[in-house]
Amino acid sequence: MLLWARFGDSTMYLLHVLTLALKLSALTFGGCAAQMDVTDAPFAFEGIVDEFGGSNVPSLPKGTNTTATVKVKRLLFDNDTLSQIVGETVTIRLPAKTLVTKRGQDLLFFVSGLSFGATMAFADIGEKLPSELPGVTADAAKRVVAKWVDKARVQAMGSKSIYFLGRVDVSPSSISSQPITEHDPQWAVAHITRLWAFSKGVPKSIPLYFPQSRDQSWVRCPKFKKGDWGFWIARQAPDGLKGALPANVFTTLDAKDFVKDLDRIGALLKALWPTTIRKK
Amino acid sequence: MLLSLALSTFLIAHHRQQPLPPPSSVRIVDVIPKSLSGETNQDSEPSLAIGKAGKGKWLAISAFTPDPAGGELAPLYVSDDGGATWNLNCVIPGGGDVGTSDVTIGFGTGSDLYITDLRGRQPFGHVFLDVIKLADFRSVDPAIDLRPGQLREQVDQPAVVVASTTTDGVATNRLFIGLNDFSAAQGHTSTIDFADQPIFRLETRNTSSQDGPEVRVATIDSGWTYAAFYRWINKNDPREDGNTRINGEVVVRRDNTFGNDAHPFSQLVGKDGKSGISAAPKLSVVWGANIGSQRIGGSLALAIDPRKPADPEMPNVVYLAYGSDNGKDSSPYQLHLCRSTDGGKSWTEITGIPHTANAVNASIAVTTSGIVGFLYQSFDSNSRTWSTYLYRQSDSASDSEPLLLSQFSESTTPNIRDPQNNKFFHPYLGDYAALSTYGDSFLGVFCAGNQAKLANFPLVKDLNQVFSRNFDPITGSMTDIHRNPIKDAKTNRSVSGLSIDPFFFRIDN
Repeated sequence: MLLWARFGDSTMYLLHVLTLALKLSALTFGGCAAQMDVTDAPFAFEGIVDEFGGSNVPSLPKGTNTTATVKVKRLLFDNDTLSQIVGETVTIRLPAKTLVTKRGQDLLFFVSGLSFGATMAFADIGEKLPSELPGVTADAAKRVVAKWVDKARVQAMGSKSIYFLGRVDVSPSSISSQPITEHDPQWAVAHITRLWAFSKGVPKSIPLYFPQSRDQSWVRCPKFKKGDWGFWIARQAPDGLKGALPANVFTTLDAKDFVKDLDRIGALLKALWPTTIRKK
Repeated sequence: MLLSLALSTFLIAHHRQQPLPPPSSVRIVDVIPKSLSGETNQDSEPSLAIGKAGKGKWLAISAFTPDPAGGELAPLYVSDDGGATWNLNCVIPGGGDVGTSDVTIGFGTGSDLYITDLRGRQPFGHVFLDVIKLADFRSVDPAIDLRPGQLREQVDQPAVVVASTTTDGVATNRLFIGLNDFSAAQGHTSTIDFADQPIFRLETRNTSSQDGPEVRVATIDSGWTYAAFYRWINKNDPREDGNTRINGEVVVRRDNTFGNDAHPFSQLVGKDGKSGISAAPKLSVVWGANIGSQRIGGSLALAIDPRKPADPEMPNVVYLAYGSDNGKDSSPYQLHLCRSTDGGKSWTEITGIPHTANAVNASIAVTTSGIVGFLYQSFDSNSRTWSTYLYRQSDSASDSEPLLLSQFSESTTPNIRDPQNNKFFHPYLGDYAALSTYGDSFLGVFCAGNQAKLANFPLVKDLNQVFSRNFDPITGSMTDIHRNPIKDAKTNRSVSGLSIDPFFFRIDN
């Protein structure tokens, strides 16, 4: 945001972002394109296998080779709740296809939560070898993993999605809604000026519907105001889900679908550049 | 019959002549486990299920809690030792960034647990209802969808009650899911979803185009089943502050065979000849208004006295709690507790209960000895303090001052109560809390600020019995798993370690 304020001009801003993307070329995607399934995981860490078949939680019995205990070496995702688990020994429920075979293995574990009591257990979605992670420092490693995830998200987008750099030039307007419910999304529409399109079919001005409500159901959805800019992954409802919104409108309901962080925008541009980038 | 009515009237008139003895024991437990000591979520809107087959030891709690790792299976809190220790298992599909949306739970006849929830992710604005089941409440495998392929959407506040019924000598589970279904014709939105049978519309009269969100069901072993809902009769245009005043009534309906009467829920008939009795005819709420940081929009609870009446012709006593103001902005929103001794035909308010003004989250339950418990959370606007009370009343005695289970100032949860902070969402504490019974004990759950100070838990002598998560005994702030101050993962800066947690309690009378 500060950069935007400093440059105050979309062309300058784009030049900056593109330069940033080129500078970031040293942080490669690690040749992980064939293993993107693990990037569905919401959390990841590097750990050393303590006991193959081990378990520290009552709900996962020991000795079945479907579990392992792992000492957490470093985190690969930011997570407020789990930020202090480095050095802890956690239990992992292994997937059917796993790299875990013995004590002492150093692996990257991509996991979701499973059970949390006196100790904690995770459901392992997949592993990678540390050699696939060139980042040396914890922050660098986190950045690399974040790029894996961003790239996977872009690759997973269907034909009903568009992605673009843009800016909210006019204050969003509210749309009246019925019925009265605690979960009223309180829809608003933001008309976003396209700065740079990276997919087909991105109009110059994109009306984007978003929920203004701070109800629990909608609070984490991105909310926009005049002056916001960034990278949007905007999605259109598939045919079977039309009805809650006017036909063919775009929404950005997942917090991950609006990226403001310059570093990540740069990585996204780099991921998209070779094949799909389109000039304004 | 007349003698029984006269006796009931006498008892009601004289029930507050003696004070109830204090509880024989009190247990209050923050259900956040030790391994999640660093969490600062707004874990609001709890529900509680007690497994009878577990002799009061099997417990489950739901709340607006996300998978700590950020996954799409929302957690369930479970305990198999009567609530002394709790595990959080990620088993509810459809979790979002703050867990599922409205979620309630109920045990079946064994260790099986039924869950109804609105999914935490709403693709393209669609709010989907899930009805799911765990074969065992302690399972760490995802709950199974009971209606695969049948998506229901645009409903609000599903609340499940599971009754055990016997068919041909075989015990089966009968689900009642009270909900507000916006797809209903003619604004008859108050609905019961039986999960495996066609839905049933409770509303029979004209409405303002819809009813309120709360639909509650209570049932007992005899098969008598009550349903209560907010009938919204009219609503004003939105005011300058964006809020809307709604006028209506609380309607109660009854069925004598677990909803299987030839004409379901038609035992109570109003003066207009339509099914349903108005138990609270002059109800008014301001939709969109807040009490402190807590939104209001109604509060509704039902409970049946499990004792068999001495006169077999008399029905079990039934209790109803609801929230309303008197139709003027100058009057406080207030909770009311009513009783019916004639099977729901007429209702009498129990007056004189302290701290019910500016109170929310009513829940009621009746023990096997007939003590009715009334759980609610009351706000003091001067000190901006929330207090959670349990008021008890037996046939012959009552609490002159309700039991104060918890109190905390909103100022102790700065990250969560600040609307500019991305952590804050509505509802602050939840649109409901939960009270139940096992034998002659009250078991319940409420959400509150988690500052570990004895003054915040006046019935507690040792905070180590309350918190298994780590805390600083000097400041009362929560600490991480290494007992260090809690920090923001991205900035590594210290943040307030205080937030909203679910608190289980057990009060032995």
